[in-house]
Amino acid sequence: MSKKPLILDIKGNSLDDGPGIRSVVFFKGCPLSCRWCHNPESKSPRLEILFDAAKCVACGACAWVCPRGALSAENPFFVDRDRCELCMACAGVCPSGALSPAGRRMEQAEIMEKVLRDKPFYDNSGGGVTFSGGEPTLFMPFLAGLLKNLKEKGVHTLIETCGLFNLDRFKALVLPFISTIYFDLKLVDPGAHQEYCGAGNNRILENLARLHTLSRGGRFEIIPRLPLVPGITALGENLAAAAEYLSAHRITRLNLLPYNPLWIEKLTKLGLKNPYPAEHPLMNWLPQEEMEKCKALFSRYGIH
Amino acid sequence: MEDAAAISQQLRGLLEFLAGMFNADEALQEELKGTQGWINVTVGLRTADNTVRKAIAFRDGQVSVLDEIPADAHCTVVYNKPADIIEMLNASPDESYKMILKGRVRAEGNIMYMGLWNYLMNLVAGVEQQEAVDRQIEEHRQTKQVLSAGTCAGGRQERLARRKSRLTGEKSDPGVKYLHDPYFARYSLEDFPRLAALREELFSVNCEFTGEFGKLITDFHVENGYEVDRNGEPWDPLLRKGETMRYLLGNRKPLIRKRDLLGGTWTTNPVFGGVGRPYSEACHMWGELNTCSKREYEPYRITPESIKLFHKYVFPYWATRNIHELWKSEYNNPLPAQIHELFFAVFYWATVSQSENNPGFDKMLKLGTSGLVKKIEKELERDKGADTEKRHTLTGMKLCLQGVDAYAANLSRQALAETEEEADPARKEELLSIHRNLLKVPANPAKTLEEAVQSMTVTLVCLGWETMDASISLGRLDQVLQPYFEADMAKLSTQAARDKYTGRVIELIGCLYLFNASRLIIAANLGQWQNSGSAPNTCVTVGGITPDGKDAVNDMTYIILKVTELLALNHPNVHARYKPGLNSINYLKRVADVNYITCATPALHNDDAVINALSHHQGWALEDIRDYASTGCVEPSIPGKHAGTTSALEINLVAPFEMAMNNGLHPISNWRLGPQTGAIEDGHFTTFENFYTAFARQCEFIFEQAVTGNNQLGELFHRHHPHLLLSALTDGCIESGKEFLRGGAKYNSSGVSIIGLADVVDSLLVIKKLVFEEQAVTFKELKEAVDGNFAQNPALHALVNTRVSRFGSGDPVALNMARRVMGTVGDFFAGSRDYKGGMYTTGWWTMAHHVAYGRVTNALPSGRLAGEPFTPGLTPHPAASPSLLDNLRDVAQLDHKAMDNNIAFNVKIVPGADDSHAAVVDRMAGYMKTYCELGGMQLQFNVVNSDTLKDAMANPEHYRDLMVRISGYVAYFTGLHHELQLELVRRAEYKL
Repeated sequence: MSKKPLILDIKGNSLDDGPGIRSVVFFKGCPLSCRWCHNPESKSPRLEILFDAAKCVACGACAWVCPRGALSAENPFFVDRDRCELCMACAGVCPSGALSPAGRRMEQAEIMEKVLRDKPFYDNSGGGVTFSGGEPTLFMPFLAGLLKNLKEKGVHTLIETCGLFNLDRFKALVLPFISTIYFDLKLVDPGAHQEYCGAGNNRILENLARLHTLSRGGRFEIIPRLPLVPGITALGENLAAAAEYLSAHRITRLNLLPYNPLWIEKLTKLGLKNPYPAEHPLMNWLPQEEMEKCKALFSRYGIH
Repeated sequence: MEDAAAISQQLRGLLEFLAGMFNADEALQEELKGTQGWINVTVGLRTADNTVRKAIAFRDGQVSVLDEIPADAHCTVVYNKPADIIEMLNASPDESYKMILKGRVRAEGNIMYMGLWNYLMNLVAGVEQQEAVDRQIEEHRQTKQVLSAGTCAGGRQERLARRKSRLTGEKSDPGVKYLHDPYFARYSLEDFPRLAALREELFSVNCEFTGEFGKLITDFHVENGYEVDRNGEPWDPLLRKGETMRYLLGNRKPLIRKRDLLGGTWTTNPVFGGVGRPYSEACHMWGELNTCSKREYEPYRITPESIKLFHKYVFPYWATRNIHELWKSEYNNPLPAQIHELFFAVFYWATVSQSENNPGFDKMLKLGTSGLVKKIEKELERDKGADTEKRHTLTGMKLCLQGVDAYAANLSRQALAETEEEADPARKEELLSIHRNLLKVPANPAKTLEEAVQSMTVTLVCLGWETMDASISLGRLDQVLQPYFEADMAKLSTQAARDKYTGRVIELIGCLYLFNASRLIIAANLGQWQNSGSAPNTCVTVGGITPDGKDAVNDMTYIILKVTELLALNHPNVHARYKPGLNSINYLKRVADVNYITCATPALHNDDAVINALSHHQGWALEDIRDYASTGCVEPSIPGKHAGTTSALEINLVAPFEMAMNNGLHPISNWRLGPQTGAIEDGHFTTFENFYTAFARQCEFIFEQAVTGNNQLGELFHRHHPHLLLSALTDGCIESGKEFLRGGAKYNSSGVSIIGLADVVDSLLVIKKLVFEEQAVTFKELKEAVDGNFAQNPALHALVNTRVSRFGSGDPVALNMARRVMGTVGDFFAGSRDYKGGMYTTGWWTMAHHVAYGRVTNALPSGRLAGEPFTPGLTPHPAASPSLLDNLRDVAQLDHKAMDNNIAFNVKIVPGADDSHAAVVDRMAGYMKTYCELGGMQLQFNVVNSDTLKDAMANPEHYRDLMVRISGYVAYFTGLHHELQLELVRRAEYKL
């Protein structure tokens, strides 16, 4: 794994990724491949090209500069990804930003400069910086450098993780500089996890339990999060198993994340077909009453 | 030419038909008989090239059509092309105003006679004209239905829920002496049935265009003369105005509104009325007397008696004596007046009013009229060698103060008389109390809070009648009233008595708010393009620091904020000052809380930034600067010490930019107005600096015209309508013997607002980067694309929209460009002198001009297309950055010195469905505090989402009191001009 990650985006003024006003740094690359991943462009750690048909003004400049003849309106998703060598010459000339690279190498200093601009807003709102992805722990030394720097400057730090990492390395490199961990607990059944997320979950569950124990020392907090994906995670069986698991480990906090289908629009930008028909549960928002039911289930276990 | 001949003939036929009707019809003949004799007028109609020209003459009841326009025609309508004549005749109001705004139709000569011509035409063609209005209303209604299809109606409930939910706040401010729950969580509007009923009444009626003022002032001058007195001797306006004021105030009807705790009304309609001065704001109403009650926006109530009064008596008298006409006649139709009438570059608000100020109400409360008269007499006694001007100025002030006393005495008598007929003992007691208060004030110093508020009420309306009721502001109301509150509270010994009394104070301040909200400025239809939905903008300012730099937040601060929350009115325009590091976070959160509950008010001002900006004014004392209060939209002025006339000029910065792009020609008006500064087509600009110099020269040209015209109008106002009562309440005027508009005040300045900053800055950035740095396009190609509205160049349009960082993006290059442009503008005005001997101050707020001026502007290099609105205030373009923080940081880093007339920074934020009231307030306060700490001057939130706005457009009945901040002023959304509504929907929306 390359030491420097590709950064997909640094989003300022985020209010949904932790307490207060925050910036979110999105890393590219993830060890899981969840079927419903909300940022499909973040799955692969490698550079990719995005094409947004809605922005294209059909000026033809891109096809003119492409050395591989990979661009044409005749192609199903405009870019012939077998031919494309990711030189990004097209993105350089595209006037409307319809063609753009997914991911950019950034130095730590550049990231720090960007997120520290908003420090006064973090300070007055109890906010800080969130690292998300993709999976930020894929790049632990790089991540650790950023976290350390922020911690020294008194900035609240938070990571959103899928939980699949080497705990010893995590404890040594990352944990000392973390204020809060948002830890995903998606599916409890190992077979289902393997099927829907592309990897087993033994290590994830174990990491969650051990980190929770460590958090009792009060140096950091850990909050599990469960995305309610219709037909996959938002099933009574899985939710009950999750509740059992959490209570067994005396974990009483859980954030439930309602599902939304907005990610599906991103597939075409990556040259992928939407595999779902309109009536498929994954094409629709999780109904509010479903959300309430799930909440009620966990409350019965004393989990809020 | 054939076209011209045919249209000529058609026009002649039409005019003859009209003449025939007037000559034959008795009722129409009757309309030509004025109280003082026949109403005569000759109107010309012609094309710009004179190929079509006709005139119609109304003379002593006989109407005739002429083939040549006589040299002494009162006014002439000039059409660009023959076809425009026919189009104008069939146009709906919006269509005809678009034609005016685009320079396809203009008026020459006397504007009031033009109104008379419209009045007479309406008598004959009223049915067709109303059909055009109704057609437009129906078209807009349909657009709104389409726009709102599928939007969520959740806003209706959410708004009500917001008003019901209450936070509590601890007492943490040193200046708060008595309140234990400064947020008053225990009170809702239902706890104040009086206020609820008065408020309901206000929302249930249309404003009445009243005739009392017009009648009284015309009576007075018909009887006593205007240019000369009744003996035919020249009449010094200083004395004339004093006598006029004494007559007006002494003879106006003393009314007490039902249920009100305060005596006095703004007009003869106690609930909602407009004064209608025939020499200023109402002079444009002649043509609309019969239509204003049926128009689309803000229809007025007007009685048939008033219509008759204005048409036959009032307007004929003022036709040549109104400010607008006097400007043209006394200065020989100067270039500034010509620019004004084409609506594309400069709007001279001074044609209407000089009244955006903060009078010294504290002087009236402390001295009373009797004390002020004593002060004046002492000065006359002291300065034995006083010149005529001083003697007349001081005598005029005394006459005005006598008028105030007479009005108060009449009110007091009226209250007593009503007592006798009042059956309800509680109301009887209230009327007696009004009677007793008015026996004491404003003649004498106020001793209690109730007397103080009553004194302010009478003074406010008298000042309104003297000047023009735009933005006569109440200053730092919390600072002025706190001593009276404390004195009253000290007399009460139990907590229960004190709690009861604070409830009473809320009612009193509520009555003051509702009294203030009981009037509008009478405005012609065209005004809807400039300041649609605007109230007269009396401002109330709270919080901040005291003159000696201490925390100024006190009990009255929170009481006023509570009243602002409960009544949720667009008027007064409420402003909260905040001193970082000194004012408490509890106070700031309460400001955010009220802003959230009311959606749009108060606006936030940073003391550090405003005080820093004003500190650049030579000779201004720091303790006075610290005492600043808002007036007009957002402008700072020093109460009781400062002749600030802060919204004198509203200037379109994009006009000089377009003139620089076109070698001095303004494209839409097709007027070669500015100096020739180089043609892009001929390759005159080889560097960006060359072009910037051209832009700066065009700015200078327009600004010079602005200053020249405003100085003419200032002198003119002084010669015709000196502000003597206002002078008596302003430090320096008594001592110097110079009236307010003559530089008598301790501090003097005139204020400018600049429209279109972000659009100009973004356009300059595109030229700099794409033309001169990257050479991605030639200047000529860019200009061709702009001239063609980018229709042939979608790729170039995409390029300018995506590849150049805009102001508000956080890119230092863009920020520096904004600072540079603001410096160019600010330096010019700081170096200019006004008619009072003060400097000009520069502001960046836009009323609704960003929509009106946008309408008359072609596409811009920034990518903005022809006719689209500019951004409001100095708010960055919505596409500048997806992060609000980039906007906030950029605006916070602008140079205070170049914004000493303040800014309007609008931000639309939308709470999430799950966010609690407390969480929303915490976040808003977080933005506010940080923005101020970074140096930001002013910030105003609209806490409403686009879905709610769309639902309100289609279903106005659910949203009649939904408030939004436009750019500095607050308006009820459903009453706004259609295009302004659309602009608000389009504004960038940030999730909170």
